[in-house]
Amino acid sequence: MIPVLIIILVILALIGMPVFACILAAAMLGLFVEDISTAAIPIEMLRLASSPILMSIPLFTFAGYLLAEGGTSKRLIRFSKSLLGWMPGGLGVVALVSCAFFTAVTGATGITIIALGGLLFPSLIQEHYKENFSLGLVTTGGSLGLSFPPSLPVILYGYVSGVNIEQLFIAGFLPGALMLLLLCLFSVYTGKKLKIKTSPFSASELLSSFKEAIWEVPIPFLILAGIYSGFCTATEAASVIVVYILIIKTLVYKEICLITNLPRVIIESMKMVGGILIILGAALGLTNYLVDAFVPMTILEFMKGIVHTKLGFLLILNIFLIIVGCMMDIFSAILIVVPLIIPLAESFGIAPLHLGVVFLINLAIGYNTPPVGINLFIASARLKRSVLQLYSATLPFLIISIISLLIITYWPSLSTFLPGILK
Amino acid sequence: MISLLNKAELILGKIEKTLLIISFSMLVIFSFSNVILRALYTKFNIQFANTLLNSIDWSDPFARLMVLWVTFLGASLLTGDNKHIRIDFLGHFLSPSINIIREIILSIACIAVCGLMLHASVEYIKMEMEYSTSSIMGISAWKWQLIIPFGFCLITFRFFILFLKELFKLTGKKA
Repeated sequence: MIPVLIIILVILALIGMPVFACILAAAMLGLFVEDISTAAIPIEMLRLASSPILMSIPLFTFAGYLLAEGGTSKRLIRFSKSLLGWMPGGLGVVALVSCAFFTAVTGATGITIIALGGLLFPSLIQEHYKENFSLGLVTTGGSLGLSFPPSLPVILYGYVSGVNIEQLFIAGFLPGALMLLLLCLFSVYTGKKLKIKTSPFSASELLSSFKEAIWEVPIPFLILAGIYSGFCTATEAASVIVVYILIIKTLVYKEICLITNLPRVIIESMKMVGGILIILGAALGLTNYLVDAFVPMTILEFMKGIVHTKLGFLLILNIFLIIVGCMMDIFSAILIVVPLIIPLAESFGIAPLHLGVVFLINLAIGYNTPPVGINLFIASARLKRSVLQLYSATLPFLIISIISLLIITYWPSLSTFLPGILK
Repeated sequence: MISLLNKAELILGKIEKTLLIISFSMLVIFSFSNVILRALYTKFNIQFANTLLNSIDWSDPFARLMVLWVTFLGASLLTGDNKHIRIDFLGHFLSPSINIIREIILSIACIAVCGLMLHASVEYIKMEMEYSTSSIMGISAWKWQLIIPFGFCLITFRFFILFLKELFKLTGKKA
């Protein structure tokens, strides 16, 4: 009876049953086998209301949705264009940098391609970049900057793994920057090869575009400074930033009306939050069972039989996570996979911060990996191109991303260096 | 029958949205005032802020509780849109008619799971009513936790509506 139910559940999960329902079903099955009352699950779900860190998730998500309203994306592109547009492949670099920025402040919830892609893609085409290059660039941009503050996956990873979130943000900075840099170099190379005209640098345009975006561009740096100076925790920063963005959007830019559009923004963003946190709640119920049932230990015994070195383990982890990343969204993946991986990584002597960075960057790449990476479908819908075309368009970017992933994976001090000196 | 369901869904949606906006606003207001008051006291040593902070010592657990409310209300609204996070590589490749059958199977499974969870959370609340002593703002904790059974009830109902809608699609009627 039980094996049959497990098989049915796996099939349901694969044909698209909502992840939270799958996890709840698994948790109930587990408790049933152990002969424990299912009332244990709501007890675990209550932990959603016991952690200050989790408060930052609705707050940052709302802040991101608020920023996606109105002209922030336009101002951001204009500013980065005046700052970086003069170099060869300039607009490509502009696109990558503004996507990374936008992904970080909107918490990597898939808004980047929708908000920026529609603006950047036509302008890239207009400047005679090849269509496939432009498509790949914009699609890849959708998950770039995922390790920069205040990205939600980092917060969620910290919560699930118990790694200090502030430290994890510092650890993710250099690896994220490396990946951004490699992709920018590719854009510069392409710009040079295609001999694309660049716009000359203008100090007055830089100044005026900066003036226009002066309230928004500093947001990630304000959060960084607040957290790293020890002035506030990530959660405190979240609630301050929400009020700050509310003020600039309603009073300075006058793009949000408290009565007409604010309720819609709250509802849309909280649907997103509900979707993530209900999975977290379900996973809290399940991990308890997993820990009780020694599932991680069983996997560990198995893994130790096939790999013996740290490098071998990391390589398997990379491949495994890319597969996970292209099947599952990053939030479910963190909640389900992290508790299983941590004891393994510990026994292979991998630093928790390094593991976190590898995990997040790896899953970010999964977003763009054919056949089912979610960014490919978002971009296909938003930019009206076939998914098949996107497969080939993103390929060079995917290769560069994987090269940076390998560097990040096999060069641990890139992740652990900054947290070490800032301690 | 169909119009009645639509109406029920519409009214339900309005209640959920109103509650959601209230819960989130509470979350922002109380977490923000906590941060500001604490900063005023610890960084600038303003005594009044500390007094005020002590008089609203329930505000921090209350704000955290609102996370739970936001989660369930948001999740229920998301169910209505049929936009829950899922492993969805089949959806992009299936034909529309097979997709309807898939959705029907999935909604039945979800009704079963969430219905069982509704039962489990009612059991839990019954236990809490007997043994729990903690309270927030003078209201005992289990009353605040009613959002869990309430939430699962809403989600189950929404999956039921989804199920009916897909069923109507299959039989050719408009929902």
